[in-house]
Amino acid sequence: MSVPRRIIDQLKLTYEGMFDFNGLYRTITSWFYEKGYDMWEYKNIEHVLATGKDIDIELRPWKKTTDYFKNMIWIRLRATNVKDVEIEKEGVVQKINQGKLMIIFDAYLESDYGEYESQWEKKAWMFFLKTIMEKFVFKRYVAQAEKWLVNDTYQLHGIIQKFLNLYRYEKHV
Amino acid sequence: MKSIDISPLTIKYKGLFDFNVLYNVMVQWLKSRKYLFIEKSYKHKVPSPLGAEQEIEFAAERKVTELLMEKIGIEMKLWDMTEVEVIKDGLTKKLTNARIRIIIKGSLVLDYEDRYKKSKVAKFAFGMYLKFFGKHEIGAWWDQLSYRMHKLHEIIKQELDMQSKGYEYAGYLGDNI
Repeated sequence: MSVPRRIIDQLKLTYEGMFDFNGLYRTITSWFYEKGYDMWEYKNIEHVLATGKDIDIELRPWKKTTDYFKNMIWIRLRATNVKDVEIEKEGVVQKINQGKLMIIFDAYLESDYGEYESQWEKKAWMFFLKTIMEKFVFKRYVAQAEKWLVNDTYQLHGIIQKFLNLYRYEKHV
Repeated sequence: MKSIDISPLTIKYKGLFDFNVLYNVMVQWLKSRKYLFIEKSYKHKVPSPLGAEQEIEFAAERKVTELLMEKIGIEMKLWDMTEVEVIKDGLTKKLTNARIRIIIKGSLVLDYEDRYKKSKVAKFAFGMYLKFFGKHEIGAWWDQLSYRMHKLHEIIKQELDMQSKGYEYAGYLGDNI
C-alpha cells in the first residue's frame, strides 16, 4: 500500500444554530454518490445525554480517478448539544435540530494504489524512481490529479455552506 | 486460502433502544440472504451497580462461487445495560438503556477449499489467475460485499433511531429489503 499525500489539511466549517442534521448527512452522502465515490463510514458515534445528543461521524469515501491516482476525502462531522426542535414554516410544522456543528475536511491523494499492493514501492530503487518521475517528468499529471481533488473538496464545502445558509464564495483551482 | 478484508464499520450508541428487535433484525437479515449464521460467542458478565455487560459475536459465511466465499462478522459489546419500561402509544414496552458498540467486519476468502494448494503447479497457476484474470471478478465481489455491509449498517442505524439514518447508496445493489 502506498502512502497517501495530504493535499487539504483540516479545512474547518463551524456552525451554531438550527439545522437539519439528517438532511445534512443525506446531502453529503448523495453528493458522493453522484460524483461516483465509493463510501466508507469509518465511525458513527451517538450519545444521548441530558444536554442533548453528541454525534461524531467520520466518512472516508474514495474514488479511483485513474488506474494510478485515488482521491480520498475524509469528512468528520462533530455535533454537540443537538436537540430536536419544531418550527412552523409557512403553516407547516417541521422537525429540525439545534446545536453546535463542526465539520472538518481532509483530502488525500494516493498514487500507485494498486489492487492489492503498490507496484512501485516494492523495492527502494523503484520507490526512488517513482518519486523522481512524479516530481519532474509527470509533474503535470500529478498537478491535474491534485486539482481534481481540491475542486471536489471545495465543491462539497460550498454545498454544505449552501445547505446551512452560510455566506459563501465559489473557489475553483 | 487467501482472504481480502473489507474496511470495518463501527457504530457506537448510548441511549435507549430495543435490544431484542435489534438482535433479531440482524440475524434475520443475514439468514434471508442465505448466509450460514453462527453465534460464535455470547458472554454475559456479572452486573455491576451501573448495569450488566454483554459481549456477542456473530459469524456468517456464504459460498458465492467455487473459489470465493463471503464472510461477515459482527461484534457487539454492551456496557451499563439496564432494562427500562416505557409507555408508548398506550403500550408498555421494555427497552434497554446501555452503551453499545457494533463492529461489522467482512472478508472475501479465495480458494476456501484449498484446491490450488496441493501442488506447486496449481499454486503458480492460481497466482497467475489472480494477477491477470481474476482482478475484475474479485473487485466486483468485493464491491458487492462492501455495499451489503453498508446496508446492514444502515439497518442498525434505523433500529437505533440515530440522526444519521438514511443512505444514498441504498438501491445500489438493486436489493431493497
